[in-house]
Amino acid sequence: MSKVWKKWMALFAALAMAAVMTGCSGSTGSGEQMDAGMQSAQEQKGGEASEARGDDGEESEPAEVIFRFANYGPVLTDLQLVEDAMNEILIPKINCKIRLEAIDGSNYDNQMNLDLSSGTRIDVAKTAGSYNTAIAQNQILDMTELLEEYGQEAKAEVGEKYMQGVMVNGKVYGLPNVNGRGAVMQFGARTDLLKKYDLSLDGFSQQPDWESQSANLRLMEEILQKVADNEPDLIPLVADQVGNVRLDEIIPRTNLGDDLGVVMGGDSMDVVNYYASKQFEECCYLLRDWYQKGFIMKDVATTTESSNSILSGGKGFSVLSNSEIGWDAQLKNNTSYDFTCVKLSLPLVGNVSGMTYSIPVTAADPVASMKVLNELYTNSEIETLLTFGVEDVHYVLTEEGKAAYPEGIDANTSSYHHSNFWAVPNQLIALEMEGTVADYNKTLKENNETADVAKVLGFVFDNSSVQTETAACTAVIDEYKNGLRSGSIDVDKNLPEFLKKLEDAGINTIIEEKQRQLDQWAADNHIQ
Amino acid sequence: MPKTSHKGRRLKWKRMRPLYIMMIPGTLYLIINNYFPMFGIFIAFKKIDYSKGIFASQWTGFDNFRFLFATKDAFVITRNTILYNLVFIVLGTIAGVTVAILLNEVISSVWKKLYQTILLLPQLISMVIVAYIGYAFLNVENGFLNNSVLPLLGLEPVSWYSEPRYWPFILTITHLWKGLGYGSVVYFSAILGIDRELYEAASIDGAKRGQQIRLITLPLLKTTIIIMVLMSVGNIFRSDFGLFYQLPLNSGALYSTTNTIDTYVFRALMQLNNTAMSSAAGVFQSVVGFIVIVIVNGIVRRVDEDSALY
Repeated sequence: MSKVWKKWMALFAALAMAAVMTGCSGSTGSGEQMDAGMQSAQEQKGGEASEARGDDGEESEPAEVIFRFANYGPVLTDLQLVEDAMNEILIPKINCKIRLEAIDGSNYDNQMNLDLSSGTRIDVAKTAGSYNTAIAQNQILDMTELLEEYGQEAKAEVGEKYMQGVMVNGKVYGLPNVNGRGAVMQFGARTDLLKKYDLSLDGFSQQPDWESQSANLRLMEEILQKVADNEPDLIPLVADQVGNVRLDEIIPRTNLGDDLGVVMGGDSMDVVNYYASKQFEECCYLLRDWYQKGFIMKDVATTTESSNSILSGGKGFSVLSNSEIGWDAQLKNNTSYDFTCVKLSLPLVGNVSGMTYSIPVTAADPVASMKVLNELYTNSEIETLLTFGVEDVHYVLTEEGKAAYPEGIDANTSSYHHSNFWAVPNQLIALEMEGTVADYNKTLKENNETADVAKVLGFVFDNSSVQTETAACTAVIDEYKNGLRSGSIDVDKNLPEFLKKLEDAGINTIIEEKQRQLDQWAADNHIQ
Repeated sequence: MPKTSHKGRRLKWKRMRPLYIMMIPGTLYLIINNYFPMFGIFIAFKKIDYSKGIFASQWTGFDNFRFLFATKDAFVITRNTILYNLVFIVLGTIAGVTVAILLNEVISSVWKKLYQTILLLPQLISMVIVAYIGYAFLNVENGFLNNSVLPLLGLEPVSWYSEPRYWPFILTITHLWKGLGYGSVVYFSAILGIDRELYEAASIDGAKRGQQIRLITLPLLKTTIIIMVLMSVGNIFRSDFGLFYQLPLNSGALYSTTNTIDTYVFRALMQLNNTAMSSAAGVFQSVVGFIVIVIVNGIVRRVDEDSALY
């Protein structure tokens, strides 16, 4: 009985101490109270406290950092194993311990919102939802100074050019994930059929804008016509995404966070309505023409069959996609057919904040968070562990030194699948994946360095004053985009209707607000 | 005198106790699932700031509600939601009552069970799968209708997923097919509760089947029908998201006849990730539902006091 009583007393004492501690961190307003709280806490803790908080980092306990990321695949059952392997590296190096939390990708944003609003501790995380919304709602911390002190290497890894892309009023709230940014629109066609009809893709060339694409488009049309005439059972041009042939993506533009108000090309500073542009209109008419000529599948706007499944079933001839090097190898992997691919457009980076990693407001120790974040962006071993798991358990090295699943295991049966490779903080320092072309990471890195960045890169639109209009316009776009971008609805009738509705929904208010913010941003950053 | 009444009350309590105990799980469910969350209504009037927490966030009045009425679509989605619900309530009730009466007339218990099971089966199928069944029927190139049925009737194939005018029928038929089994169960059990002697007496007096149904079954079902209708009327501003989103395969060309408040809210806020605005939509639907139910109940009470909910 007395033992139980002692236990309760101990627990009570511990709780009281915790209360004093929170008291000291909570009452930053009055200095006296804070000092008193600190003192009493230290008195109670005695010598131990000063040791644990000691400045000589060697002896202190490693700080634990909860790292939350999105998992785009089956449950990662071996998370603990990977975590332990990471800690073996992190504890001696930066005296931090990592705790991995994988949240199902489809539920990630909801879960984050819920946890952040209830104050659940998360130390480093993939930003939920959009970067600017997260900032507007104060979900993530300003990490500018921390980055200066503990994150120089991570900054270098992202690249100065791209760091611009996450600056908001001179402050950084998150690091963009590092991946290949030099992707361009490409046209890929079945090699066997090209040969059969004596067609060649040599005439295609990379062009900077829509007007100069006309030669490419004429050539494409001739090829598609030939295939349509001779192979009636084949879909000449398969839509890469449901309801989206992606042809309009060869129009160079920067979407400024959403497609509601964009700048055309890389040098412009004028916010315009993309859907009302001459280029988009021409593109819609061309697509409609191709649809009516039978180049595009009839129920393209609603089909539930993916482009890969159509192509691998031998039912398609060609496809348009936005891709990096090695797209032909990818297509071969996915469809088992040989493809010949040509690049159509030039790389233009207008936005890098699509996926960012940041420190949530509920972080316990932002310094430790930053240290771990820095490792996540610069440490190849950590990155490989995060991407592929533990060597010889979750992956094996191939002869070319790439990561592959061990014999007899695939993404669905693995206890730590590799499907998150594209969503990790720095894809380019991890091992390369089996099936990629030689020097994959190196080439991507070089492409990143040479890619053009738009003049507006770094401008992040704060849509908080036009949320109503944004919601309304998003709903309108949802209604028409698939139809127009696949040629499956009549342009004469629907495009004007679409534009009218967009105007009613307030797109011009958004554009005005965007232009105002962009001008302000340009003035603040001395950009002409 | 007072003593006996006291005793009577205790006796009554003793008799009722099992019923009250049986009520506990349901009541708990209602409190946890339906009453606790009501507390969150205030979120709809806030501009959420995660660093301050939801309580300390700034009040914004009705700002979060504006997006619901910001476009001309506001009319379309409200019209669609209400009209579909009215059609569903009217046809659903008629079909449910008819099927319940017909089931009651089936004498063989084997057949009765079989019919009930078959009718109930669609209720158990997920809307996603229903959407694929629909797709199998309506696919432009390979669908059952375009390939087998329409040529048989000598009609041209129809591009179902881009012709809005067919969708009121498609959606209604699917809704009835899916909900009929469940909808008729309540009426069927109400019919089983009717005193058999009434029918016996009627048939001795020479009443035919049809007369029995018209003069005994239907009048006695009236209260059940009214309660069921009142309960569905409260949801008149809500729609079955699965039905209106999955079945049309989210085809933009069909929005004029398939967009409802729920699908609109989903589409508008998918990317914005704005909790307050989606709460606003929910509050709006609930408040209107509440008002409608009070009005309809008031009308019912005026016409026939015994049938009103309260």
